[in-house]
Amino acid sequence: MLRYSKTLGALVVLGVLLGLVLSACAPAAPPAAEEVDFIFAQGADATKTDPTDVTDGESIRVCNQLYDGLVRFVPGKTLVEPNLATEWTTSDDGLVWEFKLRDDIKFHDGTDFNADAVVYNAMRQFDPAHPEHTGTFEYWEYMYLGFLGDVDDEGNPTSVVKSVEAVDEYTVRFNLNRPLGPFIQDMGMFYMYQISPTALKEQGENYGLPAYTPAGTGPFKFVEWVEGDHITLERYDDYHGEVAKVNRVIIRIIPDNAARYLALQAGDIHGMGFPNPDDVPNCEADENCQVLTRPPNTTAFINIMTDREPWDDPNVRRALDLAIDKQAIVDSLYGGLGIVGTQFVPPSLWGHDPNIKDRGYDPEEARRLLDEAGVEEGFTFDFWYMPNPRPYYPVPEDIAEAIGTYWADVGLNPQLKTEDWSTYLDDRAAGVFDIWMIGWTGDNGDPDNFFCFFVCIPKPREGNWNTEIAQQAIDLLLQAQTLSAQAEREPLYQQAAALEHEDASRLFIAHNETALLFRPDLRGFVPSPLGEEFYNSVYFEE
Amino acid sequence: MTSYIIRRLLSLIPTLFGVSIIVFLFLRMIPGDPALALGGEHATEATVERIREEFGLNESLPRQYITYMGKILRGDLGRSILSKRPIADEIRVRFPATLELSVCALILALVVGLPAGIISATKRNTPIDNIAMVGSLLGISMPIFWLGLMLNWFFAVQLGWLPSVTRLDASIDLQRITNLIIVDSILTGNAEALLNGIKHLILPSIALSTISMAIIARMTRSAMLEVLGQDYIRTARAKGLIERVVTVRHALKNALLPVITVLGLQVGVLLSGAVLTETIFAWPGIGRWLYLSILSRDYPIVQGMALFITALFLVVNLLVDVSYALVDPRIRYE
Amino acid sequence: MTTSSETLEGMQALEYTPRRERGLVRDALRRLWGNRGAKVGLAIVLFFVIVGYVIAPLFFPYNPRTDRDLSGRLSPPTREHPFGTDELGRDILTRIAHGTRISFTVGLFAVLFASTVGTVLGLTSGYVGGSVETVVMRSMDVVLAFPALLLAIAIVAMRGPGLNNTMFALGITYIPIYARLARSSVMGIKELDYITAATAVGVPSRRILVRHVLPNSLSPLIVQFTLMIATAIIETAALGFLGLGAQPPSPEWGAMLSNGYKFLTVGAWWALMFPGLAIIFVVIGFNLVGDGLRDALDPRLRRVGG
Repeated sequence: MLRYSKTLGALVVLGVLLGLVLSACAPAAPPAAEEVDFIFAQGADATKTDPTDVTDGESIRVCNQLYDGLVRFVPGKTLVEPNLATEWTTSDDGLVWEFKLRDDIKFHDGTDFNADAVVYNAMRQFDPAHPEHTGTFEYWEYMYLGFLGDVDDEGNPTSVVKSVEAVDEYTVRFNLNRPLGPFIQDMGMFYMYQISPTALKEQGENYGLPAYTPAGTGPFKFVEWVEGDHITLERYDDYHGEVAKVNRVIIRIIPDNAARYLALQAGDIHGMGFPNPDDVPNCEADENCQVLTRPPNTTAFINIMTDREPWDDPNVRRALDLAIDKQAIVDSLYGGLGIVGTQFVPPSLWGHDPNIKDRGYDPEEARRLLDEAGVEEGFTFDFWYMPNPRPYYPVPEDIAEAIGTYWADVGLNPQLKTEDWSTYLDDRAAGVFDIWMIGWTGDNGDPDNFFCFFVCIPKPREGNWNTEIAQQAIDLLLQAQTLSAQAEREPLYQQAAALEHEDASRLFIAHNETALLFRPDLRGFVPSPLGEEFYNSVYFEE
Repeated sequence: MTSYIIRRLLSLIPTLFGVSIIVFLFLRMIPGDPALALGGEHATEATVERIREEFGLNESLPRQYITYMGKILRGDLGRSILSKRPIADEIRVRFPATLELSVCALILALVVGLPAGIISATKRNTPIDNIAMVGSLLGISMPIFWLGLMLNWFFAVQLGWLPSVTRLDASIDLQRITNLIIVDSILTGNAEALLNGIKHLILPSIALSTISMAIIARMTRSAMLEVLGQDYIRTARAKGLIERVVTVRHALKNALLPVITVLGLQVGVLLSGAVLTETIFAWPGIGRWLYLSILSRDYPIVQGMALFITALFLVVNLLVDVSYALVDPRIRYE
Repeated sequence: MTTSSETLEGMQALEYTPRRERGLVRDALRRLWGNRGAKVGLAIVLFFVIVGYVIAPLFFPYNPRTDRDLSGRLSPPTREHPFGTDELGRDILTRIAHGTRISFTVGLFAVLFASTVGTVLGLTSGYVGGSVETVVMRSMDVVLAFPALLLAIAIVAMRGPGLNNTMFALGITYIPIYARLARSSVMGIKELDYITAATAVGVPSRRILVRHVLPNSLSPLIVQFTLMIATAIIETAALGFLGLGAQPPSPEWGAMLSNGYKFLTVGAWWALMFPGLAIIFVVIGFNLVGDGLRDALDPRLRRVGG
């Protein structure tokens, strides 16, 4: 026995020594102010640093620091302000947009920024015959409805953009085939960021891959990208706007939400997105943690194939809606940041109709409607949810489980199903699902981006909404697209939303603010409803 | 010995050849047009055509295979569908992360497991033996993701002794040469990175090592027991040799053979464990990457990695066989 | 091989072996009972069987489809909820108890599937020999070459997540183990006198395999069976943890763990602790029984153990 206690004693001593050694080297001296790094953790690696060929928030976050557009979103707002362009004019018919460019700007690789560069960047995306048209350029296609040479059945060009030309060295002109309401808003988006033509020509289709150095005009320059681990950017001292206060920005990849929060608590990182909802109040209560929220610009809903049995009966869809206690879900699973959803356009945006009210939680009425429609007790169907958190569904699995129990309460038997996110997106577009969770975060602050995108062309992706009511709503939306005055457009969106609500083609669950968590001493981070955040204003309080 | 190794290396070729055919056919067995499957939802006509071109799908199967093998021999494993990055590049960055973690875990498993097994065997049925065996029972019975979570929570968050995730603090600069943090920091004389890298390695290594550690301890113990019961050990004891000499010189040396076999099998155990450990500790290695690629049906990655892992496994097996000969003089390879 | 069956004498002589086996079984059982570890293991397994298959369904009937109490979510252990509640306010103890059946079913059927297929493959290929043996055993090596969990993930990913596919995928990855084991037993037995004799007198080879080779290879297979159930339970949990196994709202332990992990950051340790402990205890139980069986059945170790 004595021998064991000796060994035990030795172990304890060893443990204490180890602890001392470790704790002695743990706290490093704080670096001098100008050498400070800002470390932000995100859940997935970026795919590319080429802003024209990405669609994921992780890549866009990096691109926001590296690049500028002709205009940019006012930090924290959905309005645009001059950036690489100092001013712009539009013709009365809305078909010609002319931008005056700054003449004092160089890309990170030393290339001059001028009208030729803008034309080069636009034509690279627009013209499939362009030598550097090597990506899929999804956003260009989606915002402008096609590329150069694309025509519809009647032979008319589908693309909104007609041509892009340099008027003089610092003036560039966009000619359109037809007016586009949100055109100037779109100009501030990532896919219109300006890339050094020299770098594009030199790197060809490899531009934006981890081993290659991208060149923009943004507040930070690219340093290195260790795949799956981190991307390092450093301050661009010749930046034309507010020169960054931190020396470097490091985008760290920590896939798991909880692990990311643990790393924040441990001080390994300074900021993070996508916290688990329950960590938000927890962070608020913790003096070592700071919560910033993005204004609500999201919509979480459930899409339904309205042309498949039994979902083709609007009363069945209403029953599904009535069965869910949305208030309880929003209260308990959104970390206090959500409100019950009623329509596509969130309340913070114009085009939202405050008169549309949730149907309320009424399981009895739901049961009655289901009985009436002849849906039998125990009716079994697949209910799909996404595998990873989205801004609009911060805990998709928990929310799906809760919704499933509410439907089970009224005698339905939903089977919860999920699959890899990219496959999920493909499958819902291919019409594989009958009922599934999906949502949207606004791109540019325009209701068109929330509404028309989803319903204007009935497709499996959005539930084949092609009822009679649907056609009325779509007509209103298409009409709104061609108008430019907000006052004229707003009532059209509101009418369409009312029709949509009546038809119950989608079940709206929530609109929510999205939270970002930071170390307590971080300042100057301006949360944007669009997720367009620029880190040059970030600093640490002494 | 040398000729044996050469012969074994040569015999790897037909095996790898066979695997490459299976892996090659795998992509062609996807129902439907593989080019469409590879292109995904947004593929335009041109993209699909480019994919056909890239994978040579317009040609005959044998021709396709030759092209494919030609590319592989030149180190070109193709590109990921989702990220469009060259797979060989990604392996070059990610494999060292898994390698470093696995090697550390294996060393840890050996350093603890081997002595534990030996002591258990020599002190059979004593409290030490019981403790060691209960410990190893726990080791093989504990889900490593659970242990990893617990370690992470307790040591990194509650106590704050060790970093919780990733391989290196983001603020530390390290010139990457081999992508092995420890090797690179020694090569560049970066003491800060070395210390930090080691601290990051501790928790995931412990989590990843437990299964191997327990298996090694149990295997060593039973192998030792078997050897200790044999005649020549009794003879050695009868000759009056000191117990420690008997244990180490005679018994251990002979007990090592089955232990080495078990070591060879740890490649699979460690790689499987890496999927879970890398998830919990945000370790940018191949385990989690391959897991995600399988889920997202990024077939070129799965294909390339299947080949890579099989090759790895075969090489480790070869090393195991070679070390048999080094440990046991009775085994000779002509 | 001849198929003549006029060799009654020889066959009667062979029928004696099972009787001798019975003595061996009784012997082994006695040794097993004398093994403290095995007794503890058996007690643990029985405890979970009773809780999961008798007490829980009879006294605490549970429907995971409608279980929800959003206002009482993440409650720490109380008198009413001894193991606390989870993110939807569900009682964790109830879910663990009912989850037992999932772990046991998946573990049992995965191993049953693997051992049947693997044993048949191993026995026949070992007995027939030649190129059949080479092809079968080489392909087993190829399967073994791939990390088991990754292979299981790939199979589940192809066939879709869920318990049935988990069973199937784990089963596939375990086949080579049984094939190798069965083959090596055949190799040891094949050359023994009484098999040679049986072959010589013309007993059909299928009969020889089933009546004589199989019973004599059973001990290692039984030991492996028990130990593999332990492994299967852990790996089921691992797949559940990765979201590929049981789908919500099923109270599968691994899935409960991956959910519980999210709430460690808000101090809800119970959501992670108790499902983890359940897995550990059950797996320890099966491992102890397996170890005990090995000690009882493996004559080599018995001699050494003394």
